[in-house]
Amino acid sequence: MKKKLTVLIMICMSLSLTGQQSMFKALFMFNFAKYIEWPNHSSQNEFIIGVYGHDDIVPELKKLASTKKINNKPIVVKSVKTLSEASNAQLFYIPESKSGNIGEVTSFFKGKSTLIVSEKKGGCAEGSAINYILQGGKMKYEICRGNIESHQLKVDQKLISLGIEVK
Amino acid sequence: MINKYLYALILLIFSVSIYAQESKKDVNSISREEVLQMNIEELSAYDLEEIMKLMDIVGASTIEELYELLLNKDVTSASKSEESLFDSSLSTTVLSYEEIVSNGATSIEEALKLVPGIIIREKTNGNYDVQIRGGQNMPMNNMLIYAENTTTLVMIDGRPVFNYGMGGILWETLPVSLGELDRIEVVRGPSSALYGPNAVNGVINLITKETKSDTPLVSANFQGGTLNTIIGDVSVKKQFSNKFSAGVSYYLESRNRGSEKIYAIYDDQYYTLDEYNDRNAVALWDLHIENDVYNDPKRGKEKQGINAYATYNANDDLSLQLSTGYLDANAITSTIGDTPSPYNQRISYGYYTNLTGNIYGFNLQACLNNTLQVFNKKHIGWTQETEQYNISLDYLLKFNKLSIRPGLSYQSIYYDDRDHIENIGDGYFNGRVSLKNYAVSARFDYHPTDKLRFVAALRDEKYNKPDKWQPSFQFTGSYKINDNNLLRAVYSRANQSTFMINAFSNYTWNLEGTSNSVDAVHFGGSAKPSMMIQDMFEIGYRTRPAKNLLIDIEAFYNKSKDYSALMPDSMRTNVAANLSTYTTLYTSYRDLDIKSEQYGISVSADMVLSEKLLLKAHFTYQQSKVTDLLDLSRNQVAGLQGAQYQPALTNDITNYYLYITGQGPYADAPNASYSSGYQPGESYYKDMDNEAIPSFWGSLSFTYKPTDKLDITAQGYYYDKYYLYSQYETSSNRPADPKYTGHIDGKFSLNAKVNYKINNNISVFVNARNVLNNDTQEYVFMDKIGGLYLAGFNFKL
Repeated sequence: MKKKLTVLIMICMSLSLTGQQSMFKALFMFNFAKYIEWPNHSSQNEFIIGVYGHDDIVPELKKLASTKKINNKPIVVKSVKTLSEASNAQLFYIPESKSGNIGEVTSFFKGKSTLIVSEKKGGCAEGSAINYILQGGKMKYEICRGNIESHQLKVDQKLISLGIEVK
Repeated sequence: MINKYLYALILLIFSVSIYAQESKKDVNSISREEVLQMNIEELSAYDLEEIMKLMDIVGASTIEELYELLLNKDVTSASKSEESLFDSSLSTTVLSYEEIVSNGATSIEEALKLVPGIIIREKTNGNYDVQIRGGQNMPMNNMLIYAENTTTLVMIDGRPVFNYGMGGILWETLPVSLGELDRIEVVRGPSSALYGPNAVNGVINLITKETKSDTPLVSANFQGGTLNTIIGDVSVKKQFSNKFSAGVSYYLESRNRGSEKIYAIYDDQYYTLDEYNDRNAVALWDLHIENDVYNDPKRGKEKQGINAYATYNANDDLSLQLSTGYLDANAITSTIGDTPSPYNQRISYGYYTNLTGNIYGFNLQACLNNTLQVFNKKHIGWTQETEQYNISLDYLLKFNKLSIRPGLSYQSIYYDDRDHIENIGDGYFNGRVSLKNYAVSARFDYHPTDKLRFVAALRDEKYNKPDKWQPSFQFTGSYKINDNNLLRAVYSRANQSTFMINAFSNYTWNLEGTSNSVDAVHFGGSAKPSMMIQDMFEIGYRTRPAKNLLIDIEAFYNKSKDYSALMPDSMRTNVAANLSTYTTLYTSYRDLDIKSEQYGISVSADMVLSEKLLLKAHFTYQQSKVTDLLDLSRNQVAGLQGAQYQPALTNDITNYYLYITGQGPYADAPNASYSSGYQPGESYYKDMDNEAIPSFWGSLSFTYKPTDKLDITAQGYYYDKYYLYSQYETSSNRPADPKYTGHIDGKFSLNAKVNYKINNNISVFVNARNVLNNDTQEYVFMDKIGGLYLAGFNFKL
C-alpha cells in the first residue's frame, strides 16, 4: 500500500510540475496587466482575457479570476474557438498549440486596445506584444514596445526592463 | 489504511496552505519546496519581479526543458536566417553540443553518426569516410579517389573548408575541436543555390559557441585511453562588456592506429614497413619514393591548433565576429595514389582568419585560409602551398509576406608547388595555379498564408575553369497542415566546381625500372573540365504526433551527370637507336558519359520518453545505379591502346634486330615512335548498380539519466554490406582470389558512455567506442577497426 501511495504522490508531484508552467504563465499575465494602461479604462465593466482554444492556462486564470481583479474590474476568462467570441478582450493569449495563428490574431485585433500574448519563437516579430520563451530552461518573456503601443496601450518601463526587449 | 494516509496527506496540504496564506514569505529566503506548496492565489500576492525569482527557485519542469532542447531546435543553415527546425522546408538536422557530449563521440565525423542520411566508416583510428546519402564512386572501376565524397560542402561558422586540390574534405585539417562547437547543422540535398559549388549532396555547418555573460571563463575537456588516444581542448573566454567578448582555445588530438601494418595491394597482404620495403625492393612496385614515407606508421592522427575569437556588438545595426587560428595536422589514411599501398600520410599546417558581420542589415563574410598541404608524403610533387579567399555579402529585405535575400560572393583559390620541387617538371602542377568564381544570388521566401510557404533560391556562378556561367537553384514548397504536421517538397540543382587536378594536372609519374608495363604516366588537366551536376526531387513529412515525439521522413530521388575522370588519351612508345624502348601513357581529365541515379528514404525520430529517458533513432535506405559506365579501368584502357601497336612494334624491332645481327633478311629500321589513341567502343559500356554505399544504415541511441548526476548513453550503429567496385577488382596484377576486396561486410558497433557530474564544475566519464570490439574492416584496404576505450573529464569554471 505504501508503494501505491508513493506512486500516487509521485504522480501528483509530476503533474504539479508540468502544471507549474501554466500557473506561472497565468501569474505572469495577471502581473503584465498591472504595468499596462488601457485607454478605454472605464468603458468596460469587466477585464476580459481571451484564450485561443483549450489550454491548461484557462483553469489557472479562472482560479485567479475568482479572487482577483485587474484595474478594479472583475476578470472574465474566455476560452474561444473563434476570435469574434473575444472581440472585446483587453488581453488575448495565443497558446503554443495555436501559435501558427499569430498572423490571424494580430490582424483581427489590429487597431483594438488588446494586449496580445503568445508563446512562439519569434512571436514578437509576428506582431505579438509579449511572448513567452524558455531560455536556459527558465521561462522568460520577450516584449516589444512597438507592438504594445500600436494597440493604443501604454507600457511601464519596468515591464520592459524585466523582460527581453525585442525591437 | 489508504484512508489514513490520504487523510494525513490532505491534512498536510491543507495545513501547509493555511500556513502559506498567513504570511507572504520573503522571496530571498524561501525554499523550492515552499514555493511548490503554494497555490496560484497565494502566489498572486507577489509582484512580477518576485514571481520571476520564485520561478527561478522552482526551475522549469525538466521535461519541458527537454522538449525545448531536443524537439524545438532552431536552424540557420537551411535558409540563412534563424527559423524553427520544424518549419524548415529542406531536409535538415541540428545536433546540439549537449547531444554530442552525451553520445561520447570522439570526433566531429563520429558525431555525425547521429545525423540521418549520413554514413560514417572509419579508415584508421580517427580518420573517416563521411558521405551524405551516397552516390559516390563515380566512375566505378577506377582509382579509390573517386570513392571519396567530393559533393558535400563543410563550413565552420559559414566559412567553406573544402579541399579544392582534388575535391572533398580533409577532415583532419578542420581547425576546430568538438569542445568549441555549439551545434552542427546539416542540410541534405543540393544547396549550391545557397552556398555555392560542391554543396551537391548537402551542407555540414559546424557552428562554434558564442561567448555570452554566462559562458564559463575556463572550460576544458579531456579524454585518453587505448591506442594512445589523447583528445582534449581548453578554452578561456570572457564577455568583457555587452559590446565586447573574446576568447582563446587550444586543442589536441593524437591517436595510434590499431596496427602498424600497411596494405600492399599487389601482394594482397598487410606488411610492416620493413617487410613492405623489402618486398618492394624485389617486386619493384615503386622505386621513385621519398625515403621517409611515414613519420610513424603506427600514428593514425595527430592534430593540434589554437583559435582566437573576438566579438564586437556596437549596437543592433553593427556587430562583428572575428576568428583566427593555426592548425598543425597529419594523418595516415587513404587515398591519393592507391598503389602500391593505399596508406598515405597527409600533412597540413597553416592559419585561417574569418570575419563575419552584420553591418546595417548587410551580412558580410570574409575569410582566408593559408595552408601548406602535403597530400601524399610518399612522392615528390604533392606538396602545395594553398591560399583561399572568400567574400560574400547579402541583405535581407522584408515585406509583408515576402522576404528577399539578394547576395554576391567571390572565391579564389591558389595552389603553388614551386618552392617544394627541385626542378619545374618534378611537381604536380609545376606552377601557381588558380580557380576563381563569383556569383550573384537571390533567395525569395514567400508566405501567402500562415500555412503555405514557397522558397526559390537562385544563383548564377561564373567560373574561370571552365570559363562559363553555371546556374543552380532550389525550389521548395511547404504546407503546414497544423502546428504538428508539415508537408514539404523540394526540387533543386547543384554542381561541383572544378578541382585543381581536373584543370591543372601537369605531372609525370616516373615508373622507369619498376615492374609496371609503362615507363611513365603523364597526368594532364583539361582546358574545359566538366562540372558534375545533380538534380534532386524530394518530398518530406515532419510530424509531432505527441508533445514528446518528433518524426521526420524524407524520400529523395536524384540524377547526376557531367562527371570527369583521369583516363588514358593515348600511349606512345619511343624507340631509341639501340632499340631500347620508353613507353609513356598520356592521361588527362576526360568528360565521361556516365550518369548516376539514386533514390532513397531517411526516417528519424527523437523522443523524450520521460525526464530520465531519451531516444534518438534514424535509418536510411537507398539504391543507386549508373548508366553508360565504361567498365574498363584506366590500366585496361591503356592495355587496349598498347595492343593497337605492340604487335607491329615487336615485329619491327625483332626483324630489324635479326637483320642487323645477320640472322635475318633485310628489314627497315623500326619507327622512332609508335602510338595509339584508341578509345573503347560501345560494347564496353554498361549499366549497373552502384553498391559503394550500403543500401541500409542507421543508428539507435538511448540516454538514461537515473539521477541528476548520472547520465548513461548507448548507441547502436549499423550499416549493411557494400561493394566498392574499384580498378583493383579487375586488376591482373593481384592474386587470382584476393583476400581483401571491395566487398565489405555489414557491421554493428555499440558505443556507450557513462558520465557522472561531481558538481557544477566537473564531470568525469568513461567512454567506449565499439565496446563489443567488433574488429572488422570498415573501409576497403584500410585498418580493422576495433574497440576504443577512454576515460576523461569535462571542467568549467
